[in-house]
Amino acid sequence: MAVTTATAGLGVLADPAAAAADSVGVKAGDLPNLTIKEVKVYVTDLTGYHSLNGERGELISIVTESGIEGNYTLGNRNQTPGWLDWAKPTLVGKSVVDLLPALTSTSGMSGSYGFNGQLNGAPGPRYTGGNTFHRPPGRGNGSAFDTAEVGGGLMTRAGGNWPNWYAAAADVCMWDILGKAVNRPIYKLLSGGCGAAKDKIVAYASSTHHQAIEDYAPEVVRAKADGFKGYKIHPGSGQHNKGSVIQAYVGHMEEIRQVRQAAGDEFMLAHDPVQMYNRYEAMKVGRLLDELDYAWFEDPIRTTDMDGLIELCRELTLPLHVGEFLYSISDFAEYISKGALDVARLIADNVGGISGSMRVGLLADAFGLECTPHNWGNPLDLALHFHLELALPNAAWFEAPYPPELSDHPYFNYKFRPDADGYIHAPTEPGLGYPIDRAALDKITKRIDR
Amino acid sequence: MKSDTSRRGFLAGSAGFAAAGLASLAHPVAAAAQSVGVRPGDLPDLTIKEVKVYVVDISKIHKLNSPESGELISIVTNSGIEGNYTLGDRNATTGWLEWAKPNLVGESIVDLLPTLTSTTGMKGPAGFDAAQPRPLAGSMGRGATGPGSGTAFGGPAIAGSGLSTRGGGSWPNYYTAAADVAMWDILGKAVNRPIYKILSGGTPTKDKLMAYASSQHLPTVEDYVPDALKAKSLGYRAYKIHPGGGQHATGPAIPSYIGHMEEIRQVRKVVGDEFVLMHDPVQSYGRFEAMTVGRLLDDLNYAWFEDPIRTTDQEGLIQLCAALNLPIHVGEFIYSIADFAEYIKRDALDVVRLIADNVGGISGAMRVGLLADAHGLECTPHNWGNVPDMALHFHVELALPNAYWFEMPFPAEYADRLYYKDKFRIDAEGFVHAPTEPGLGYPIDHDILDKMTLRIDR
Repeated sequence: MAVTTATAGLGVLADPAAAAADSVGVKAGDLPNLTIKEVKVYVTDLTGYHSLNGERGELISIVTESGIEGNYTLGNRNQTPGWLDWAKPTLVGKSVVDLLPALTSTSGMSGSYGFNGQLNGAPGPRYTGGNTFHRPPGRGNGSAFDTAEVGGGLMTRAGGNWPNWYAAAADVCMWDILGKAVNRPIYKLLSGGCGAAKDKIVAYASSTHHQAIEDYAPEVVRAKADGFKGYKIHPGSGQHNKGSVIQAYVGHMEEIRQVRQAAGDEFMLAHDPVQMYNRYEAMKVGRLLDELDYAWFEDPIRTTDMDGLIELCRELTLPLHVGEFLYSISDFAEYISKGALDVARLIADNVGGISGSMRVGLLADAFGLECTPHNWGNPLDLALHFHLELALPNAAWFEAPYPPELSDHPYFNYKFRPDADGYIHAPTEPGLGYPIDRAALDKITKRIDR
Repeated sequence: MKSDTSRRGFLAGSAGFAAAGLASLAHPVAAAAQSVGVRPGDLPDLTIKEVKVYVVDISKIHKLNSPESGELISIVTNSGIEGNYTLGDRNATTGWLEWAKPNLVGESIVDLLPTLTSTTGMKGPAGFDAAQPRPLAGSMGRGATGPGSGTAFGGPAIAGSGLSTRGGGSWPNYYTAAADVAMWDILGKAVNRPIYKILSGGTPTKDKLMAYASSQHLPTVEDYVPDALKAKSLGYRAYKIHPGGGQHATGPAIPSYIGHMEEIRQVRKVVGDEFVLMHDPVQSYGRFEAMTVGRLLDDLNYAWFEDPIRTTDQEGLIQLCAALNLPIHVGEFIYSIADFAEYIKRDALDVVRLIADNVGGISGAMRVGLLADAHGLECTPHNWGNVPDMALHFHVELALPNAYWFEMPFPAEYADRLYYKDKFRIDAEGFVHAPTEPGLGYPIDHDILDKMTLRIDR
């Protein structure tokens, strides 16, 4: 490299180990070769394993020329069939250095004065228009990495597509590789000079959707006894154990009351009906949550009802968490600037992986808003969102699916559990930070697709 | 690829059982490297070994930025990679070396980048965060130390920062901004790529940008027509007026903005209707003057109106954005990501302008640019200074999906520096081409630098 002329470098270059490395083709000033050599999928038998998401046992693998492997599981949000067919032509032969950060979700703008109609090199129309609706492939919506047309299925308001689930899964693997290449957990890379990186985060127990109203109060007591400092209700059908059918939201309100009573006034509680209510129901439930000092109200109504969300944000005191069902950075920007959310929620798989999530989180941060990524799935799903939460200056919670055993996994030895004070501690291993138990993986691997 | 095809391929792949294991680890070169102690997982050592400042004699150059002091900072890693930037591109930044030694030496660039130290400074809504190993600072407290403003690298407001903030988290000051640029220079060299290729990641980038000639503040009304014509004859496709005193070469004094309007009319007339023109009075008007000038710019199809009034007059900017057709470019005098967010949300700007030195260097500039992009707004970093100043903004422009213009101080020779081999010039079509060398991409001519170096401070 040209820079080896720098005077201070001479001593290092004379280092015998480096010289020897040089002789076998590894130059001291080089990165490990992060060119992607191989992509493959371990197809495992998860019989008997309870998946919180649609996990079907596919563990994807990206391996570099230097032998660093990055992994992620498919199906944490979307089954993503055919990942391998997408990955082979898209990733192999390219360097992780060039592919990260996968900031493919952009405004898709193509130049205001037409001059850059020719900037992408390829022959094409000289002037594509600054904000025309159907843009030709170009920056932000037509790269090799951002394959909009294959299996994306994401909605967008023409604000630029997120990388689809294929690319999101690859993005996570590549961050895993980059972390391993520089021997640091991912969150340390993401936070950079920010120094805001936390090394532990308070966890809240996040319920599954239970059958009966009476299921919740005992559970919050258990979670509290386990050391959790918060509890989030995912309401179910809202029916009593026995008796006649009632309206679900009325049943939920009873759950909300019972849980507050059982948990006491100083315990953090949140409520997440996952877009289940209409505007009226949401307002009724929201006023009760305000009265009972719940900490937040998540996805009260369908995310597409922006006006309804604006009304709820204005009327209710407690913050509305919204964003798990937003798939474009432009939508996040609109929801924020119109006051249609109080806290930006996100699911990394839906927003292009770690790269896209950081962009959403820092967008919220610019507006002084908190960001609460979800954690919901197997150890890799929990891990990736944990890194975001650790790195973002405006994220403060770790969502622990409850009971935490639901996230344990056959080929990960680590189990996410809070310490005595309710904290989950940051991983210290490089990359995603939770090494795969290779012997356990080998045992349940049915085949490896390449 | 259709999804059914892909499904078929997926199932077909299942036919072959492949052996588990890390075959790639058996790769012979990697194995050999391992045997001599260089693990495939090793980076070049990017720990900072030394910081120093070349003090260069620039008494004979034309300075575009008055604080430019001839100080070329240098950060050198254990592996011998050197990154550089010049001080004084926006702020004299006295005492950089004294700041840099305790803050940078011994730290790794991998840990310091990106220097996203401008944050809301939030510390967790439910108080649990108080147990974290940093002081409880209050969410939005003024002058709070905490995430974003209280690390070794993003130190609290210290002497020489001089940046204003509305409590939305301080930008890294000029010290860190300069260091940030030098560190990106190093990172680019470490991975053998120009910086813009690292910044853009999976997004395809441009490899050239259209330039506009950006005038000096010329003394008289009559100076602009010849200047614009000269730029056009040199191949430029666009010209930005930086108005000056707004006085005629002869005759009695007139209000400046009236003189500027005459410049605007004369320039449009001589360059023709299809030439791109802009106007940038650098915050020199009152609201009324700005509205009057802005309406003329609308009439004459100017492409943008930059910093018409003082940036702190947010209400005035909102009014101008609403009343005028042409976009208002604002942001060179915004120093906090939180302010950029507010200006965008309140429509106090149409296009986001930035100066990297004011917003924490390359890391902060990318954050501002991508914030604008999320809102579907363009971003136009300035280019105004010497070679590394132009270079750093060029990388940001090349990497951002929403940046299209390269500002060329006119005449272009003003940005040349003897100790850089390259000069920024347009091609026959008016484009400036991306650098191909790694890092900032414009190598220093060390022989010439040596000759001009008065001393090296360490």
